[in-house]
Amino acid sequence: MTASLADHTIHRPVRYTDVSDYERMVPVHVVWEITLACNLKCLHCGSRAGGPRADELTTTEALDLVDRLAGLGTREISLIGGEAYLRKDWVEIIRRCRSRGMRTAIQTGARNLTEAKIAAAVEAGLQGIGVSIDGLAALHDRVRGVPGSFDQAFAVLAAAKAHGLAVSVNTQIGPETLSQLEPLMDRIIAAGATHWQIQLTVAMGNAVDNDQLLLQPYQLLDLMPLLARLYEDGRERGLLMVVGNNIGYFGPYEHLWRGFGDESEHWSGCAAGQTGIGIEADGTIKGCPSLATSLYAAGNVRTATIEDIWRHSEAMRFGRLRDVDELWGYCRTCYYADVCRAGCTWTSESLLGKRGNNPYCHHRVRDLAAHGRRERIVKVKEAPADSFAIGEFALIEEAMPGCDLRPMPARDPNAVHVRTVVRAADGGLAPATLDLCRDCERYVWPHETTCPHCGGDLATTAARHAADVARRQALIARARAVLARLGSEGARHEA
Amino acid sequence: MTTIRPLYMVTVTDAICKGDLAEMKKLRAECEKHIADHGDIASLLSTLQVEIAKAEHGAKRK
Repeated sequence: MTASLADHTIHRPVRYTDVSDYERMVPVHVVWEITLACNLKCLHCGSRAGGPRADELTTTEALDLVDRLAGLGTREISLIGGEAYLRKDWVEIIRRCRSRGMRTAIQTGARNLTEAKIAAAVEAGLQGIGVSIDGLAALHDRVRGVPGSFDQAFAVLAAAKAHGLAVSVNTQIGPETLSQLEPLMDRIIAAGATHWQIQLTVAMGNAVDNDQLLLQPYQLLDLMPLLARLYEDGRERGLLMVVGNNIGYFGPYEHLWRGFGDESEHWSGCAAGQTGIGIEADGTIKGCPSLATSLYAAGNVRTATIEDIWRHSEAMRFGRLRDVDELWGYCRTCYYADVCRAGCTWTSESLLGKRGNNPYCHHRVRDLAAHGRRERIVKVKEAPADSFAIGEFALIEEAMPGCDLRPMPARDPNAVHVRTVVRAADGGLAPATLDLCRDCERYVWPHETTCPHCGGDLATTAARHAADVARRQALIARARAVLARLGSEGARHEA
Repeated sequence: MTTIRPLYMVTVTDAICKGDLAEMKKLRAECEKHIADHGDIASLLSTLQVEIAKAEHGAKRK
């Protein structure tokens, strides 16, 4: 554990939500594509970025939107593109975001992001930068469509760190990425990044055209243990792995990384339109920046107020109103149905054309594998040429190579646990919370007395865990006291 | 309650690792640093005790 991660044990990230954020419907975090102009040619780009949109917001409109988001309670804003810095007034937008008290950062592919541009953004108050790096040099340059983009990405990481920015890396995972994750992590640590977001490439836009970049669901069997090992390794070496919204769900590692050590945290469903907003450069508002525009455009700030769109648009409110009855396939009968809601809406709907059934799920993949089965995706329909367009994939269940098919146990959708919902006065709804079985470290509904996964007695194992925690905390207190005395002794001797 | 993590955005760079395990590892590192800087008093004391006992035993034989 390095000082960069350990010295802020009381600190709470501004993006962290609490129950009141859900109940009061605060758009805590906004992701804003301020321009669709881009200087990379990414084979997996969901928004098919390249040229700017025909009618991107003017500077006046953009600054007014910042003010209105601040009024809604937004605490953090990520500026993306395209490439955010290809918009001429990007520094002005950063300055306004900061003047309104929002934590402000940009996500970038980093091509031609010069040190002068970084310095100008830092002077305006930019606090963080995330650089997208999708593999080692040859793979990254091929996927990003520009030779040399890997080297430029690392050069920008170094320059940003020198300017005092919080420096992070985002990596998309496809079939070729798996074997490169470990050496890539070494490079990222050496570059001084402190946070590394991992996510699966999603079947949208250019990624539908280039579907060889999509992981097969059954490959989670290899990926998830690898990520768990890299998470632990990174934590020891000062790099905090942050799994994105489409990595999960409720497999044996769920307790490990969702709360960064706080095991009460677990996946609690897609938060689109509940604590987050996505904005397209022409002022189109969505509940999440990546959702298909054709399905989730909730309104435009040129024709309605952001407040009205946020509170009343049907396309924005779907996440607040949905229940298990809109789930289908495996997800409809899953033990976690009412807390998970089929994971990332963007990932599942882009793939299958309808939200509510997500084959990219570690719990599901393991369950199928235990019965000699796996799922594979095959493209059956191309995506239109539009930004954020989706195609369609067929989901094929087949025997695991070398395994005998065994029947899946019958699962009654009516037997799925559904929690009692108490909606707040403002109309918002806090997500469900689960307990952790301390025997098998899988999450369970709070009403359970026996773990449905391992059969352990939950009260007994919880009591044992509480005793372990008390003993550890006593040791921590004693060690702190001893080290404090040694520190003061040392200071006296030095004086 | 944890953070949302949309996929095309800057990750939550102000998040930190927490929990007993992280804290114990931090304290372990501080202990190791203290030993590296000042020496292992416990081992030194044990060695001194052994050598004192040997020396005292030898003195009695003489």
